[in-house]
Amino acid sequence: MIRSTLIALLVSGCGETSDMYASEEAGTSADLAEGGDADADADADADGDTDTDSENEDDYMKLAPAATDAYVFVANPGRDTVTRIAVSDLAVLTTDVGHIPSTVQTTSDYSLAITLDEGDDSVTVIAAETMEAQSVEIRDNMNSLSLSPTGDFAMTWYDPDKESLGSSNGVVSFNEVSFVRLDPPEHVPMAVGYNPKGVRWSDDGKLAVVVSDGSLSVVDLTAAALSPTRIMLAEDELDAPVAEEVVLTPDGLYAFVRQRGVETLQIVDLAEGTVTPVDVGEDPTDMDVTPDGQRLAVVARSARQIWSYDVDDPLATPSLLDFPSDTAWGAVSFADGGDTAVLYTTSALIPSLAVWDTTTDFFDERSLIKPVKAVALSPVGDVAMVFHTKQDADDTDPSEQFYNEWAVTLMETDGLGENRMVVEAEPTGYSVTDDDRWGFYVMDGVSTLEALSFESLLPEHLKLASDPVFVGTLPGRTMAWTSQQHELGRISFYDPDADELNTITGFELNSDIEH
Amino acid sequence: MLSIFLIGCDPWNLPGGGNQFIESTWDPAVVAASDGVYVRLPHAGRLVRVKPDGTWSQVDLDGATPEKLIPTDSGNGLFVVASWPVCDDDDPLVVNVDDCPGEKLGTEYEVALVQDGKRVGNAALDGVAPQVNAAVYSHDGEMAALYLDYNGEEIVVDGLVNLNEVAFVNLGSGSVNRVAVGFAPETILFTGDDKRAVILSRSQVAVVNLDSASEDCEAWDVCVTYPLTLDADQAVVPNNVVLVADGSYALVSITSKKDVYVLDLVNESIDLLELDNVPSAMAVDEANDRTVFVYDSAARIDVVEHEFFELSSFSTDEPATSVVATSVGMLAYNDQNYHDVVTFDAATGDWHEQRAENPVMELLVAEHYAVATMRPDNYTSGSGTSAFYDENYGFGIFPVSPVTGDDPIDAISLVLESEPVGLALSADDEGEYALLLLDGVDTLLKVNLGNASADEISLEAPPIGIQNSPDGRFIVTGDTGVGMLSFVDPVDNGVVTVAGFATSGLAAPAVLPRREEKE
Repeated sequence: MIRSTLIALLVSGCGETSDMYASEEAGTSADLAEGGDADADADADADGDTDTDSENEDDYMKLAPAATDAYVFVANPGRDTVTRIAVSDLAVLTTDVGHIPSTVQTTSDYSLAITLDEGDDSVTVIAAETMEAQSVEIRDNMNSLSLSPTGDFAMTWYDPDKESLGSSNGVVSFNEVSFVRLDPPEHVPMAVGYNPKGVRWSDDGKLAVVVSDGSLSVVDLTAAALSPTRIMLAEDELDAPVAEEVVLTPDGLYAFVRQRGVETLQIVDLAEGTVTPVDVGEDPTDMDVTPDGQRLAVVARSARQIWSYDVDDPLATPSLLDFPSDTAWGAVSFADGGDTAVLYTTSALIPSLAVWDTTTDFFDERSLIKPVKAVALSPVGDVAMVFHTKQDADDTDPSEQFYNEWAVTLMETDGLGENRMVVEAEPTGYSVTDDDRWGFYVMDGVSTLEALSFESLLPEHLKLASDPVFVGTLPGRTMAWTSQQHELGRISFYDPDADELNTITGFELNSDIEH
Repeated sequence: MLSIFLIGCDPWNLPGGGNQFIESTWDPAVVAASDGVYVRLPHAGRLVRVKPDGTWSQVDLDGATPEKLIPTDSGNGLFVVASWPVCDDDDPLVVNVDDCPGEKLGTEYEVALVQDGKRVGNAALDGVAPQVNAAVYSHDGEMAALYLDYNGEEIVVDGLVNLNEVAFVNLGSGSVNRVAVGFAPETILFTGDDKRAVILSRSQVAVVNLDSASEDCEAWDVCVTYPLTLDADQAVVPNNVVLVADGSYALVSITSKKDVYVLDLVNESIDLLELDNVPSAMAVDEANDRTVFVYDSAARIDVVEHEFFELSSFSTDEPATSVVATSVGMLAYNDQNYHDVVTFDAATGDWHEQRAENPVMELLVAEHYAVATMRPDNYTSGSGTSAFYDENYGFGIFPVSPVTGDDPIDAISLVLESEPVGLALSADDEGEYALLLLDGVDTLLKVNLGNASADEISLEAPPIGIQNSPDGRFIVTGDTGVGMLSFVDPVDNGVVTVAGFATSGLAAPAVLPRREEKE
């Protein structure tokens, strides 16, 4: 799982006000399974996210690095290179890729880094250890990239809502995607449904489901010749409701499709190609598969209910769970490895959340100092980082110390411990370590990395040499990284156990070193 | 043409008084080599070697006139940039320069390596541009890197000038390897093992492989070039470079910039340090494996360790313009308008200060002492003794002691009769000494740094310069028109003076050289 984070906070905020996307799920670092996409669902923005909108810089600095347990990869679109920075000794290596690499992602086994090169319509596959690179041509004008969880395939598509860094001036198709088999690189173009929004991969990497307006395209990745099987979700795909969330069951047998403005859930049998609408509560606003993969939970905000479907038998009667109060929460976030979830809302100024023990279905409703902008749970769910809106609830006393301030609450979900903090500026990104011990966030225009101990609930402030852009953690390690604004590139690594902050500045220069 | 017999009225000077003729007869910027002292005679167009036994002899440059002398680090000879007249007229009657029609007279240039009184290989160095004016030497003294360090001086353009080239010269064989390293090389460093040279040029740093046994890179190739900017329109001018003790990193400071580039010479990568001020100087503390930065605009010393290059800052009382390594730590001082001489422990950040009565002109470091010449302080309005110090040139002795928390031993400040024109250090079993020359004073002061007592060593004429000789003696140049060198033995204070060598070749006609070669 790539733990690079970013933008998740803005993402949820934009979602609240977007006319296109009504979901209120806030992306969390644990949701970043789509290679840097903060959404849990198939499409890049179906959660209401506007993933590319969080940064104002119009240069490569907006491009999120990709991390493995040993390296961080940074795309340099201005120089057509990718830089690899070794975490252990900050050693830098650079390799040439295609023209204008706009995205870099790493495979789950950390063996490959993949770039989407928008300037010459190619995908470059880089061996992480040797930095040997091979490029393969793809269809014109693709601007989005997703990797399969097994690292065998990549898919690129054109997202009209996303900024493109390069254009080949070729044909702009609204039905094409490019699959790339990564080892060895091989391009498989195909036409899918209208306006592809993204792809969902089965956990075993054997199936890809391309999400389009009004249809899904199922691709068997084990077939010798890849081809899509289309499943229509609406009769008129040009006037189809937008699929806000698509969730695949872990075994790849079913897809759950939540469409905007539709009061039913579409259950798609991917093998049979059938679509069965099932009832869901009033105003479904978010859905997620539980960490054990057994249930699909759909939040019905207006009904104040959670509808829970059996993943193995999705057409069976769902179980219903009432909210503990009449609060209109609309989002649910599960801890990666635990029995804890939180219910909250980012679409209304409601200063509360509910901790949901999924084993007992007991809700512990918590009052908060301010409304919620985003929630990040620690991996086992015992601590939550709650990022608050600057805006206050309607009845807030202006003399309150948190009034009209940005704030963060670090709270135990299984205890009473809390640390409520006024922060200097708007948090713009966060991440948590896999070992459930540390959370990190960065703020807009503040040259610090904030480290939050999940054990002591105390923050540490790490001074940076310039303003941070992205923050992330290294998978499997107690280590955070944060890229920062610098014309020649800057990234820092923080080891909270050793309390060591190491920074490399000017690594972009490394791309021009002549050997 | 000047005639030698005119000298009679003053045994040491040519007519006209003073030393205004010195530059035309001899150049006091002599080069002390292990086999003698080489002196350029501009008017006669000759190079002479003066020996301490009182003899001198002309060096055969095949008719060329020495224009510039570049010493070697080891004293194993010197480089001579020479010119000779050429006449594009084959008439056998054209023998002297004066015989050649003006429009046919030209000049050619070459560079030669001179050792033991003659050109190595009896010829000029192959392909070395005569515009070179700077040399850096490998630690073993066997290799020289010659380049043009352009400092605004007039450059003779003979055909074309290649400002991108460094010439590596083997001092044993005279063989030359020319390497294009980037525009306007500024500074060159040899790595500790002498297998690579790090060359700073405008906006880039090149590493040249000097090791023919290397499997990674051909010898005399630029193995790696580090850019200092990604903007071709931006000129980044390196100011200084230091190598860490094991040679794995080079730190490059930039003119008028707060950035310091950290070049990883092993992994071939670049990092940048951002300092809070533009450093005025930096130096490596090899004992503690740290680099120390001082600032003329901030009362602070910064230290960077060489593992993660983390920066630590330590406040001091006054800014510093220079920092040098001593036997017990780093010594920071200011040669502008401040007086503190600070001994700094780069490992702990502790420091203690001594006070120079006047601003430092030149500072040298011996084993147990640092010494400095000091100029009058025009910016203070002291009274009494302070005013006396302020009005005069001075000489300071700063005992070098570890920073232990105890107060350092006080510095000793001496008042000088006149402006110091030369300073050198020597040592023997009895102690350490400074040799000091004063303007217009025909004695050499030998100051015992242990007790600040001074012996006066008489010279034949007022000295104008002093320099170390590879044989342990000191060479003092005297203010005379016919040329005067004194070989001073700092152990027994013995002085051997040789004079009159500037008359060599004065009366010889200016013959067109190498005419037979041309035919």
